[in-house]
Amino acid sequence: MRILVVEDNDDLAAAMVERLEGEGYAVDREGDGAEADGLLAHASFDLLILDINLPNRSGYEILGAMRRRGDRTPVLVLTARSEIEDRVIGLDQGADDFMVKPFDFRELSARCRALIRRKSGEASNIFTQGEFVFDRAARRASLAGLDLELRSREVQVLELFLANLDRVLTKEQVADGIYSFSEAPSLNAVEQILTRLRRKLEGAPFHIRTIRGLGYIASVRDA
Amino acid sequence: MPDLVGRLFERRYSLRRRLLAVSLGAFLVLIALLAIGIWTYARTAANETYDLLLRGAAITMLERVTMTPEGIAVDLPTSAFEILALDDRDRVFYRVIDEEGRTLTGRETLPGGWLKEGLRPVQEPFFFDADYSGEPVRFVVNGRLLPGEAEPRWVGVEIGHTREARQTMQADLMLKGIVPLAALSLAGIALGRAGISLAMRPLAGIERDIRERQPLDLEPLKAEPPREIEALIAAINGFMRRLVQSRKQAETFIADVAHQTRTSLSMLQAHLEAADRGGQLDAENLAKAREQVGRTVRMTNQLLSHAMVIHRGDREMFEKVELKPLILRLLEEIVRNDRAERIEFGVDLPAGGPVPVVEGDAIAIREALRNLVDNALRHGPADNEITIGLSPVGAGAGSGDRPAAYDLRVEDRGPGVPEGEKARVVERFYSSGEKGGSGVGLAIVAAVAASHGGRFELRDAEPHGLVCVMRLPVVQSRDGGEGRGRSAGEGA
Repeated sequence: MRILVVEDNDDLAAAMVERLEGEGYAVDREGDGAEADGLLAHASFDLLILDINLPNRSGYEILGAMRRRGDRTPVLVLTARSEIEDRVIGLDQGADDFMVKPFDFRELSARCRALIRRKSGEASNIFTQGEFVFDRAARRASLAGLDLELRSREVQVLELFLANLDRVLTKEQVADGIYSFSEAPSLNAVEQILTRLRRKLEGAPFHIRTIRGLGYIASVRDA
Repeated sequence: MPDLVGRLFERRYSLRRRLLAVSLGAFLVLIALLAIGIWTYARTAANETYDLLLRGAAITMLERVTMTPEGIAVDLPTSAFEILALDDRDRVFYRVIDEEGRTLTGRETLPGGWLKEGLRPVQEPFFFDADYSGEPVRFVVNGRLLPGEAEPRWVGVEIGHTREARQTMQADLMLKGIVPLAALSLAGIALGRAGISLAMRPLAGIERDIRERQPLDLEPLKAEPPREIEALIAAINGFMRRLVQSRKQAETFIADVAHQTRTSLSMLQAHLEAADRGGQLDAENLAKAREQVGRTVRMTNQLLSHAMVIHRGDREMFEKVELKPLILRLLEEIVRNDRAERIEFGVDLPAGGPVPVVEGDAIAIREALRNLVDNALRHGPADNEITIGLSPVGAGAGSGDRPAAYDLRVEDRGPGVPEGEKARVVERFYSSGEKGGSGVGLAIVAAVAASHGGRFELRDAEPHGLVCVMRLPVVQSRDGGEGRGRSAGEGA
């Protein structure tokens, strides 16, 4: 797994590189915005950690150029508190995640793992997290090698949540996602499906939290 | 000249120049009117004086015209012409005419238009102007009736007099009138200038007062202002007062920040030194140091956030903010950071009605809301229930119309805040409970509410816990700019 760290502060960059290399990633570092932009146009990485305030070219410009090229590499944006703007918060610029400096390095590692996992999961049709494996093609989920025996509706819900990790999904959105127009969607039925799915997923590093009065947020956690 | 006029008005507005230009113009008009008056007067006076002389000459001549048996006899008196020969350059022309218009003696060529009109004046002469021998000449015609054989016969004289003497007199009168007038005008303009300078002096004094000040001297202007600029001075002094207030706030803020940062860093240093004692790393003290770093980071972030919110309390940045997505995005971020997953989050949004939108600063509102949730997380139990609520209030609430305001609400099942402390926890750097934070969080919320023209209050939840309510008006009132700024300052 190759990671590019674009950060102009040498100390912070060195600390990040050391940490990520210690976890077995191949890490390159770039401190200049224009050079990073040039590098990204030719080389491909599995993850980009991108500072916003860079010499010669801002992180936003680099990110915008990448997405215009059709480059879907996951991007984790680093930002200082004073630079928080709606577009970062809304991740409108095409960033996949963001962290506010100063941050906890354990948190950085966790976010990196999540982003890389998400990308590889999409590419291979197989989502893996710890002992939890979900095979999109076979429509089968297993935990520690044991088939969870999910029903068709439960697989649909699981797929929906995996595609919307860390995003709020209302009950209506879940119902819309699993029922066709001809079927009468029932919110009660959604709740029952979720109750069963949660029971089957017990012990898996995949959680669906209920937000009272609204819906659900699913997230994966390190074991 | 046009260039001068152009320069006069192209340059920036100057009171002195305007006043001078206006007074100068008024003087010019006045002088022109007076000069016309004097000129008319001088001309009339000169004419009347010399007409009297002409008339006298005509009467003297007529007296010497007698009827003899041989006809009319004229014995011209030299005195008649002496009267008129006051100016050496003036010439006199005359003729004596009988009733039929025949010239008895003198110049036949004198203008005789009046003869054809049948004018035969007796006793009362008439005057006219005509050109004769190449120059303007004033003529008089008079006549008398001579006792004839059968009936009285009319005989007349026509005397012409060049205008040299008249013009000399007219010029003389004119000069005697204009010179004092010009002197008066010059004196008037000079006095006007002096008066304008005098009137402007208080302005120069105020300018000097401000210019010579030390940068930090924000005392009110001491100058006794003229009534006309009293309001201006009052406004300047009001502005200075606000500057003083704002500077005091900034000074207090910097002092507080310095104190908090130093304290926090000293504690960090102490933990690290304790961990290092004895040459081997002590896991317990290292953990404390890490916790202290976390607290320092959180505090720094909140202080910066507070400074940013105050700084952004600027109406120009206000835009339409949709509250539902704001709440959802914030919730996603908070849930993602909540690793323990023991807290139950809830949302209470209005079911129908218009899309909840307020005019405001999305970032500031988001910071405020995040601080409320952070507070609930820090002070509440591990299995806290935190609800973010949104409800319309005021006119239109409950119906389909747009409400006056929205209440953004964060409710938890924590220990709450005792009634006596509710007012104090909103103050900056006041922190309660053993899990007390930086003491900035609620001050930020209060400042954001104030800068949006809303308010912030704490209530008790049932059966226990705290409800923090931030009320945000849907529309910002356009005229309350100053008041809004002040209340934001007070909130700090």
